[in-house]
Amino acid sequence: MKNKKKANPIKKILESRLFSQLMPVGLLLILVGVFAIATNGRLVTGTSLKIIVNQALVVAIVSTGGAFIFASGNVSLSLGATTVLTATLSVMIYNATGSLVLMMVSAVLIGVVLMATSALLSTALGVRVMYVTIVMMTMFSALQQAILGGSTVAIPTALSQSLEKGGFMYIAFGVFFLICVVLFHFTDIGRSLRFIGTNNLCAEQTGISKKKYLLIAFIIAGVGCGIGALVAVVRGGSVGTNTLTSLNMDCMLALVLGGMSIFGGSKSYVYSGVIGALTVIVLNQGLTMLQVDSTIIQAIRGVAFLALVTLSQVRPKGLPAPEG
Amino acid sequence: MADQKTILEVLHMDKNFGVTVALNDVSFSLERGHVYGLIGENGSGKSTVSSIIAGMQPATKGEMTYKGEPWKPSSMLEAQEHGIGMIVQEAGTIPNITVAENIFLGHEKMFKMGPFINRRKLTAKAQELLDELGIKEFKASDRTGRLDMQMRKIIEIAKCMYWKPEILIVDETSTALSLEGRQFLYKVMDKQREENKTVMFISHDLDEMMEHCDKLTVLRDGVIIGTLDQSEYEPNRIRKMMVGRELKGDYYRSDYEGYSDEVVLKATDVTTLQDLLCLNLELHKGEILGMGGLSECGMHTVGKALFGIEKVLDGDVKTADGTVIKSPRVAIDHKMAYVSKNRDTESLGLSGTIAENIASTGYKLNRLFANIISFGKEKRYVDKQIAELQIKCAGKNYMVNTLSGGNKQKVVFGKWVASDAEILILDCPTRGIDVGVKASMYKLFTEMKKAGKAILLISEELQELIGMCDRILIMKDGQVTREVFRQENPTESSLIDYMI
Repeated sequence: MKNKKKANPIKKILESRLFSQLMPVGLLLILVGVFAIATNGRLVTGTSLKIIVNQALVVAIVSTGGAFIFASGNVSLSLGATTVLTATLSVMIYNATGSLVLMMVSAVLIGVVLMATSALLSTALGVRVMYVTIVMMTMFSALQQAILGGSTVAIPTALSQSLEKGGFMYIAFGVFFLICVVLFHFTDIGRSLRFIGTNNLCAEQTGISKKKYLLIAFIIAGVGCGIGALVAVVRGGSVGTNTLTSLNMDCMLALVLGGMSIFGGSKSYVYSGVIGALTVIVLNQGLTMLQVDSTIIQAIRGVAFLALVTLSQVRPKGLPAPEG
Repeated sequence: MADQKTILEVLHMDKNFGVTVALNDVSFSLERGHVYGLIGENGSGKSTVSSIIAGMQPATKGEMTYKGEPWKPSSMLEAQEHGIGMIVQEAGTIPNITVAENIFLGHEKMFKMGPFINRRKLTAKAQELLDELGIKEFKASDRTGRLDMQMRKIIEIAKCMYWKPEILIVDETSTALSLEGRQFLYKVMDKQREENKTVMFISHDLDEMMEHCDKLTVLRDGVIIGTLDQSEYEPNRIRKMMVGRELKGDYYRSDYEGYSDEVVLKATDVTTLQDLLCLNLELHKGEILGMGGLSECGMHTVGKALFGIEKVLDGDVKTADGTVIKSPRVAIDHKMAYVSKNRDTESLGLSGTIAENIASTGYKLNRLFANIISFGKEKRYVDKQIAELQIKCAGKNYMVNTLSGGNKQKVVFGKWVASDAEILILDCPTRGIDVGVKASMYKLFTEMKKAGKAILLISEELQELIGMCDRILIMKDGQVTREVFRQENPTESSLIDYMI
């Protein structure tokens, strides 16, 4: 056994598992605190906080599903485009049939089919997920544009209001998040995906099929896109070509801000999407309240993303990872 | 001020990784014209001290002087340019560039022609170096990724020698080399000594250390235990200094117990895209079957083909119940295990935790119901292996890349032992691990054999094959050309004759 010396207590805290898990929450609280002061408390009024939570829901849902893909060391760039196309098609299905149930079921199915297509293409063609999803993102956006042109599609206002009042958004998020927590931390799905992210060659030689689990990850992410699309429709009432344009970037930013490594593996947490989504929205909302130009907000988000990715690369080697 | 003979002095060096102390008040000096051996168990601090000298990482405390001047290199490139070259333990070449580009990696400016690099000149210079060193197995223009591990190590040696180092640090390089490769390395080291330069040699092979080093320094738990002159070399004494307790000189099997007639794995006319041609073998219950040969004989592909990793183009691999092994999943479902020669790239998730690596074989075994995994069962599954294999670690939730080589290998074993595999395919399982861990591994193999498990031991170490196996298959050109039984008491020279 190697010798043990009395360690520097600060260093010990910085290297502890708990610190790495609590850091994203701490960052969120700091951000809320800073903007609360800067906006003279306007950010933390009841109404403002409700808006933040409601705005964060779509990002939280989609990025929670996306966490399964990221855990395997892959990056999907089509989460946003899939969600928007799914939202468009599901609204059209409702308008054609008048059936709410059919709209909900078809949203989930469309999300799954669109996302699974990326996984299948990637494994069948042997092309990296990121490249396939770039193509899919472009295709889905073009498809939505072709369907809608310059117009929008909408569900009746009464329907969206009643669903919103009935708590549909929170229930959908809650159920999906709970299922994801179980799948990610309590079953071999999450463990296998994280192990693939750690070393896919070793995972294959340990009997973990990369193809199989990648497909599962995309299916779960597809369900997330479907539910996210429904929540977006309920919140906004309509879908157009300008709906959720920055969703993909928001999801990626949310995941890294929530403490997830962009490289997947051990340092992947399913709750990253939720904490990160709140952080992203607080950042957006806070800067907007301070009347920062939207172009500058985009630049700040980009710099934050790059900084976090860089930081995740220089993370100390021996940093312990969580159990489960 | 150091005298003219002394080239490097290390004074009171400490190195801490978080709460772990890797080096504790280490002091020593190196003189010109000598080959110094640094020996110790895995995790004793050998690689740490050498990497600090070579500029890979800084020390936490302490001083160094090189040629009488304070020495604090900020990078390996700086050390290299000042005359300290190191051949690293892990792979140090980039596969998708040429041999020449690897040799001059980081020094491309030497061949700058305006804004461009003169690749022709770079390749010619590298070829000149290869010729000077007598390397004929590959050319400077060859793509590195097409060469095997041994050749890639030789590139690293050449890369290091270009700078004509005053101090050459050889960190566990010989484990990746076959007999011919080792001879080449020894020649390079001898030449250094003849030219009044210095070599710092790190290896787990005690015999080669005693044969080639003028002095041996023993490290244990980050502390120098002692330094021996050649006249004081005595294997058991060195082992005792390394592990801190008596170790029997002979740690191989001494029994001649046979094995069952029951065939648990059979390969029939197995042919792969590369390496194997109509290979046949039978592995029996309770047998340790050895497999040896020269580096290009194809023996490492056998392990991969039997486990379903390498595609079998013709013939098949079947278990006792007739199942054809077509993928690792099928193999694992039939209680097979495979330990790759390339531990860090294929057998471990280095950035994963010790627990995650061991638990990776037990997802099905540790289920509570349906696909839900029991944390309690999984914890016991992992803890048992850490305790039984005595894995030295700060905790099971620490990354595998914080472990020493031997402990990493124990993690690999842990995951397969935990899965209760009945058929184990082990490709160079004791590569780069110290005598203490080796002894415990051999004990484990013997216990497994007694428990009726079947082991295919692919090894480049002839003593290991002779000492541990019931039968040894010698391979040449992708086929088994000779079968030797334990009862025949084969010798190293007889096996080499069969290989050639």
